[in-house]
Amino acid sequence: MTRPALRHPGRWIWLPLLVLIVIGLLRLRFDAEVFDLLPADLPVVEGLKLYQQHFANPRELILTLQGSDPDQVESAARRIAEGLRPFTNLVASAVWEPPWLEHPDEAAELVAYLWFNQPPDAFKALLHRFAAEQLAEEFTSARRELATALSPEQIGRLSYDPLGLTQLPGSAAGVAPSFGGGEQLFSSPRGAFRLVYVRARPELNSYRDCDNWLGRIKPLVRAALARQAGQSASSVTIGYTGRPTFVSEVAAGMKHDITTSVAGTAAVIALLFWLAHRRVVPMLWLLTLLAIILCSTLALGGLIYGTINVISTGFAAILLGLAVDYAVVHYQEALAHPGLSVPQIRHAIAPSIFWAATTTISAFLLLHLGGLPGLGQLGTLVGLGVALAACIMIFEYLPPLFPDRKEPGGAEAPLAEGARPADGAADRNVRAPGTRRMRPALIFTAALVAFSSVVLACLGLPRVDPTADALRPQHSPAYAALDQIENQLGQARRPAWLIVSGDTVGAVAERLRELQPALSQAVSNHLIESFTLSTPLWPRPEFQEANRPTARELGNAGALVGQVARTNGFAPRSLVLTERMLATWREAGASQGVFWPTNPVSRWVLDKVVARAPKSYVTIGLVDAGTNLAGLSTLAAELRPRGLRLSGWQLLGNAIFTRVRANMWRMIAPMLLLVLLSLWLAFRRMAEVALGVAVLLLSGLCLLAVMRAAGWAWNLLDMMSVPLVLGTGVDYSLFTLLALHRYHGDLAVAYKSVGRALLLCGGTAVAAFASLIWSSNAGMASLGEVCAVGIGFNMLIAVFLLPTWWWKLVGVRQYSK
Amino acid sequence: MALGASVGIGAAQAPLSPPVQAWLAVQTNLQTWSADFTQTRTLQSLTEPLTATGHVWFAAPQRFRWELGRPPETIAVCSGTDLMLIYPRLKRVERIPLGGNQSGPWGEALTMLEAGFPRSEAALRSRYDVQSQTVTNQLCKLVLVPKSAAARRIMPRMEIDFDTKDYLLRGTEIQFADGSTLRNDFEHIVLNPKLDEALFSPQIPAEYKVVEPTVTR
Repeated sequence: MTRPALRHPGRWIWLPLLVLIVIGLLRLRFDAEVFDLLPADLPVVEGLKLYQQHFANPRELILTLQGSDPDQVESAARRIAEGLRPFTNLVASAVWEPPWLEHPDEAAELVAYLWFNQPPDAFKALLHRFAAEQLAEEFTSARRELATALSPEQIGRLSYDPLGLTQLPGSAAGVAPSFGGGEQLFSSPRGAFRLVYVRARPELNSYRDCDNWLGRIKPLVRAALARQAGQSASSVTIGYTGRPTFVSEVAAGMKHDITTSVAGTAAVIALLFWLAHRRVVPMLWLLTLLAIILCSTLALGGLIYGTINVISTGFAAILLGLAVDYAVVHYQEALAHPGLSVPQIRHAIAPSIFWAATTTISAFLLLHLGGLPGLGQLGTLVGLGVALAACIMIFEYLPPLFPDRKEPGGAEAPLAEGARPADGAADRNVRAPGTRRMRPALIFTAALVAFSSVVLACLGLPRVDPTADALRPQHSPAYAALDQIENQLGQARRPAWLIVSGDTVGAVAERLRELQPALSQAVSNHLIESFTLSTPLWPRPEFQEANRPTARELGNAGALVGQVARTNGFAPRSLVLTERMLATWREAGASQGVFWPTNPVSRWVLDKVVARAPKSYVTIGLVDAGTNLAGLSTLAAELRPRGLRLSGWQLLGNAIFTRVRANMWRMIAPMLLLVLLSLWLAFRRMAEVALGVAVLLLSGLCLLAVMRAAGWAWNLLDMMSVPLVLGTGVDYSLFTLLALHRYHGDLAVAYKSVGRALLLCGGTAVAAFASLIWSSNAGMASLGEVCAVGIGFNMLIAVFLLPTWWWKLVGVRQYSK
Repeated sequence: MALGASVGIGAAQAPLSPPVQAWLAVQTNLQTWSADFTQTRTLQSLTEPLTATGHVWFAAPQRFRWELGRPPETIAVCSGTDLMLIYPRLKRVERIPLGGNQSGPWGEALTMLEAGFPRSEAALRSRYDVQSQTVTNQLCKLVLVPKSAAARRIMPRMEIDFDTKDYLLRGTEIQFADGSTLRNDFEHIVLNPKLDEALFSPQIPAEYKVVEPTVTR
């Protein structure tokens, strides 16, 4: 009887695909921004993006300097800043100490602005201070205090601010730059750790921009340090952090992931294939097709998404590990049936590949329901790749390897040696496997159950990590430097950011005013511990309008102040700050609309908390809830209806984890349904369905035990391994059980024909996921290790234990003589 | 005209001159000390120097009380663990804890106030580099530069003047970062007087406001 065949429709079918691939390659970009991995509809993510957009300067590099001698560290910081500043094409600014300490006179503008924002009564009171008689009294008093003050700060202030104008009323007092203040922003208390802020001159939009810019800055930093070599600068350790470093690091990680993990997986595939078949040409052709599939999938990803994110680059290794299976199955079948033509083999294998691909693609597409867009993109890429791999392997893998088997032959030829059933297997019934053969499997089953149960009973289930740490790169110097800043500068308690926005300056001011009692109430209710709003720095348009006449009057007081100061023995240099403040008031008095200070010191301060666009104004406050995340979340929910976003890294982890956990059943339920359905459709018997489920349960138990023993935790990303392990793991049980039926319960033949192929396929899948352990992303690494272990257990249990279970439950009745 | 010898200048690690070594040797016998002083502040922000008089008491190793003005307008009391600045006219007290890294500029200010009484060469060199040591008319001028950059920011240089005959402290001068100077000239010096312990633990009247200023480096 002639076996049916599936002919190749012709190479032209790849032409449309080729066009799409070219378009995709043209569109393809890599996205190194971690924020793009997050679900955009979460309020906390919206808040983070707003913070990132407005307040996290994308061009700011932060250098950390650590040493044992505070003097050396300070000297190194100064030298680096001074060494970078001349390179004006690269560096817009390099700041190593509070700008108002380096340029005290420039602080005058900001102080004058803060006065200008005061209620009219308070500002008008300055006129009294500037009256001729009062001025004389003020200078006399300052002179008297200068004679007896002992505090260096007080002497400094009275010397250069004899009228006490830097002492602002009310809440503004805390934000005015002070003489000698602000060092804590740049230095640890002992001074052995310091920061230098470097702002790039060029725009740093892409990761290439960041990489190139850093590549030019780092030698300059090293050169600046080298100039200090005589002062043992080598004992100062430099760290780099800030967005340019993060982006550069993530991009390098992506390159590493897509090259190293792919190369590693490809090497493992080649090795396993060689060990199984010891043939070079099929191995090389397999690797060639895998490379084509990988590039094509990447291009199609570019076509669909435009940009591929940091997590999605992990698709490459996974895809290799899965795609190779389809070629291996074809090749194994071609060797096992030397009499069949390629179209006939194709016809025999294509349906099983179709269904295997369908479950795998479904498992990966379900990642879209997990709530993490980054991982959803990875799911799409693997799904696309698997579909493409199925088509390419079905139609293109065998023809060049078996050129003489292009045309369909006649009746089926006998099975090749090695794949042929044992004597008697062709009969309906086979001899029951001996006890010696089955006992080890049963003992091993019992041992696995016992060992896993004991581990879990003694140590408990794996812990759950609800933080956003899984989204961070692993082994990241930039994050290490950031952690160092938090530890050294006493910022271990990261406050949450409260984003306040509005269409006008007045609207934001009004919101800030309304927030004050609401946040005070939250402190009283123990939802939070403290808060800081930018209210003193935010302009009050109505106050400014009312203060304009006073500002003009004060602005004209310069001559009188100078005269009275001279009379009272004050030198001209003592009035520099006062004169600059008067000039600012003169300017503010003549201005129209909202008055903003503009000099570098003012901008340095305001840029931290104020963002302006033509029709949008944004500011941030800080909210510290200590460890009370629940309180912070409650407050965030209370503020949300008012359009206020409370956000921060500690809230992010919790919010995403809650979302992912809530979505877990949306992913797992369809996957479970698919698993049960495929088992039922394949066997239509409860016994086989139960055996398939038993394999999944035992491998799940073993996975949990390994995770607990190894100290791994469930995190945002590796939780997604559950549907993947289910979707890919069930295939091993399906293939094993089908083989057992096909060979009428002959365990040995089933192992020879299918078991070894499954070990090869499973081995490549495990290698692919395991290669993610070296991923630059911490979450992907954990996802890789959990999947590798889960799939590994699935495969080993299905190949070595399942046949014995099946024989005991089904085979002994159905096939035993 | 300079009659005395002018001894080596310059190198930070240069050996101390015999007069300075002798002066340090005398310091080890000093347990308490008191004197009247005239303080002259030559500030860059003022056209004329400011002068004030007062009294100082010192008890080794680091307790002191400075009263500036008559009657006192500012009193600085160091108990060894705390520095209190008392402003009787303002009825205000600033309390600054010392030790660790908390004292910030106050710690540096403290070193200025006690710098005239180093107990040994090691103690002197642990905080200062010796810039120069000159003897003129039986008066030795020891010019010191603080080792700490934080201290140098406030006080780049200080001078200690002592008599090479009786090795008594005659004066100190502190130079501030902007070039201003603060000079103390001592007279009516009493060595090892019996001092009342209450001098270093003053009773603060109830109506005084006690504050702890934010301490930063």
